[in-house]
Amino acid sequence: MFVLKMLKKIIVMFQSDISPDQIAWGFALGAILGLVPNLLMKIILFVVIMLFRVNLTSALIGCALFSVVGFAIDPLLDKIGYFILVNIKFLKPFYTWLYNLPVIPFSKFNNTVVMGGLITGIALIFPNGILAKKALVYYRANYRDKVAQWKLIKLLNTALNATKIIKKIG
Amino acid sequence: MKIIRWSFLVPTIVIIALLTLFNILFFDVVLKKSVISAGEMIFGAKVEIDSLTTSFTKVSLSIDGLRCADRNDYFKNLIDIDHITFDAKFTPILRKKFIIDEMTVSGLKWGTSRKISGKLSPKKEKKFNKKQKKDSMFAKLFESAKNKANEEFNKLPAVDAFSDVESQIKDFDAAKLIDKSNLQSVKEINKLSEDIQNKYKNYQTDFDNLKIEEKIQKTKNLIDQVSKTKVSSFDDITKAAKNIEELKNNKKEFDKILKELNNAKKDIANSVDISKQIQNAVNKDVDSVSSKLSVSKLNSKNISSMIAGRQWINRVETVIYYMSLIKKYMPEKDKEPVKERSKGRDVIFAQKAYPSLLISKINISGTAASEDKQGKAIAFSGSINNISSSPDMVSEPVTLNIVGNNGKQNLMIEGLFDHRGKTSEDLLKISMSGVSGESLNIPENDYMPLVNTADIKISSRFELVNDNFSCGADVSVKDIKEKNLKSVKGNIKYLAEITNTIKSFTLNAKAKSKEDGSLDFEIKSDIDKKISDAISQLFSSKISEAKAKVKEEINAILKEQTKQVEDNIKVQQDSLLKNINSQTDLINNIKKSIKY
Repeated sequence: MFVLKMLKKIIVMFQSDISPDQIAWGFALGAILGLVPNLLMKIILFVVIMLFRVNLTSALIGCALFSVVGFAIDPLLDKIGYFILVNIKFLKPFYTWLYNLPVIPFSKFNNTVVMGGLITGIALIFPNGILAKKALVYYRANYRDKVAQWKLIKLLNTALNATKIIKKIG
Repeated sequence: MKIIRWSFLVPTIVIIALLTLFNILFFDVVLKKSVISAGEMIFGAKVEIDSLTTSFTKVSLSIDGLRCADRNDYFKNLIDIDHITFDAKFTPILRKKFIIDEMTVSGLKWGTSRKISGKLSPKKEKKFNKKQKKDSMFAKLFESAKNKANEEFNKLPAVDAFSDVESQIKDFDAAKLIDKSNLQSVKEINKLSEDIQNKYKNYQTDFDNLKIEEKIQKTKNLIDQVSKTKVSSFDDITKAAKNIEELKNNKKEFDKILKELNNAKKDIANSVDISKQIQNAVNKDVDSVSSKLSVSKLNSKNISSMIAGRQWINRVETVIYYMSLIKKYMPEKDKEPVKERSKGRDVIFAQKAYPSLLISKINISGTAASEDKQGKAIAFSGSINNISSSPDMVSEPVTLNIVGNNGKQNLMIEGLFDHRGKTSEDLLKISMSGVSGESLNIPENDYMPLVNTADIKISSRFELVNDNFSCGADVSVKDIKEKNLKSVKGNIKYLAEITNTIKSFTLNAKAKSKEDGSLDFEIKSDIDKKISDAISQLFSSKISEAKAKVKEEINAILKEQTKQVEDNIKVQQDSLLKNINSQTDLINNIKKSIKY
């Protein structure tokens, strides 16, 4: 049921007229969520996503996609994080200050992969957002109607409607 | 476009507000339950708290009526504290660090009685047992201490030895114990008889070899020859001179033979006092037979072990348990500054480092449950310093200093728990004086001194260096009162009489962990010697009587045999002496005939 609902939400996101900006920024923020491995950092980012009116489905897609990407590029993230934490000397006092603040050290910002993931995610916000928006606009202009005619989409709609009727009768 | 998702923000704020309110209202209840639960898992017995209050503004905590039951005696409290209060630093708490500059613990008591059992529920007990590491070094030490206690002290006391001696002396029959064929003195008589007879034979042979009669006859002939000599020529003079010279030589030879005969006569006359010569062998026989009724010596370890063994093992067991807790919650080594992780590396920046828990000072005051004969408890006070979950982050080791007295009794506890660096060293010294014997809980019985009435001074030391445990205690027991022995009956009364004379003794107990993880116990006391000496004194007169009986019996056996041997020797001796005398007479006669 959950899978069906998620599938429907994804289809709706692509096929409806939901603002491409909301979807694109949701995807970009979700990407950061996927790249950062620390739980506290994930919670903070999730709250940020929830606070802003961005599309949650696209955020989840971004998170899932970039979790896989992040897993694959862990060594690269480690190098980026190490460079930022250790090699950029003038930032050291700032990190030391952060490190001595309450709660903040729990975010594990001093971990190379966490910092690498966060910085990469932030750096990719605009490219991700712009690319996602362009891709969505292009899709809606060229493929939305064709996809709407797919038997699979119709079948999915029928299945979901049937489930609703069964629930009401039950 | 509206940027903020109000539908999320508003409910979130409401939920957070409700959670905060719940915490303010019920945080104390939740924390109290958590503290009780954690305490029960540490001590393995019920923990009770009358009230627990926290203050978010002051970041302080106050606990009233904290009682922790004793796992070894569920109807006693291990610790009973009236009041605990402390202020923690706020900012370290947000980093999961609990930093307390000063804590006050007042009304601390231990060993207080409980009305309800402190045993955990079966579910919690199971959880606690699961938590204990059975394969740890301390678990092995525990097992060893318990096994040793059962092995050493479940034996019957050494009173049986006294019963044995008593019955042996009572039913003693020397004649039954003596085996004639195995008596050393009988063998000695036979040997002496044989030696004397051989000697007489040798003398006889020597006399025969001297050919005295032949020599006498030859001399007689020579005398005749000289007396009949008629001098008619020079040759006759020469021949007569030669015969006279020969007679002179014979005379000299006879003197020599006479001397030998006299010596032999003296020797033969002296060699027949057998009873005198076998005296040493008789004494040995008496000792040998008497040894069959020897007092089964008390194992000297038994006495001191009976008095203090179980108490000592129990105390060692308790100390090992609490030292293991200290070791568990104060690990030796802190985190490395840069730690390699499976995902990335942690870069450590300079910070004011705090351990997860730091209590700089705990002021303690209370009363010791051990009361003197007048019922006045020992009031004590002191402090514990530098308690930390990460000792490497604190420059000083944990120290403990407690001093107490009630006018008559003194208590001093000193502790040093140094877990800095890769090794650890824990040291605990406890000294007590003026302690009533009752506080040691030594069981009272008929054959032990009344230790419960004594005045005791204890000085003990417990040391744990890494995993090597060692401890020792010097106990001085004095002013032991005499007990009423009217009701004591049977063989045990001997031991009771002996122990009743002991007014003081010292005791030294040691325990050390061995390489195989077991514990080696040793208890020494001068009470062993005192009791042994008294036992010897008590039984020595009875044993002397028995020895006299044995000697009498052996002498009776030997008397007949000695007479037979002596008579036999006498006959031979007389015959030999008669022979010597006749030979001597013949020689003397012939010597008189020689007038040259």
